[in-house]
Amino acid sequence: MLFCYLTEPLLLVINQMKKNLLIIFRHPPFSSTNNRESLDIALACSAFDIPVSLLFLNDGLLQLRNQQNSQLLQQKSLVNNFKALAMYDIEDYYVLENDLSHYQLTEKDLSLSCKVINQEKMAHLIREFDTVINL
Amino acid sequence: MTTPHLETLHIISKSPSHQQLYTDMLSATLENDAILLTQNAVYTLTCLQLDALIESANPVYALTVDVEAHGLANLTNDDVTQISDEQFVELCCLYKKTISWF
Repeated sequence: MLFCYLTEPLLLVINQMKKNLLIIFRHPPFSSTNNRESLDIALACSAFDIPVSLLFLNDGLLQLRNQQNSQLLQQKSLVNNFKALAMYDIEDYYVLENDLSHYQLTEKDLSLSCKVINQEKMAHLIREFDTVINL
Repeated sequence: MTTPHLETLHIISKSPSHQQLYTDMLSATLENDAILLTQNAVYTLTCLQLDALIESANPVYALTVDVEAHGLANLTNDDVTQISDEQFVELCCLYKKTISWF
């Protein structure tokens, strides 16, 4: 798995330099393993006291939709994992207002309470972080 | 003379038909950011989409080995700087961070 190759050297580098990390989720649920791997990276980094924030960009937003039923597809949903992130001190989640309106969603339809930002703010958010992972 | 502070190197590897990916990348691009075209992204040299990239990023780079491998060596553009693998590594070190779009 990608996660195994990435994480160990990455953790060493980031932790040594006391960097913060932004992870961008861009894929819809059930489509690929990228989302789960991104989540694994988030949890691993948080375990090493690296501050982690998450950005759900375009289709990535769909992962947070309420009322998903992954059992119908014999898959595990990531929703519960996302809900548990607060226990790992990962509490900053960002979504774009454009993406919300594109999919006719409001903050109430999401399983996490997210900060809603516009595209311009997103570019500046990305700039603020030392490291960005975009799987 | 002050050299500009180099911020983010955006590395894109998918062909121009992945329009949403290009849109996302461009909306994440700010001043002092550069874009590097690798793998199938070098086909952007053949499309009008290239203008949008040149407008947003300064400068736009393309990996010579991919440009030549994809048969685009005749499409030289003054606004796109072609770089070798060694220069690619150098750029990654020069910029504050890199973001891959794939």
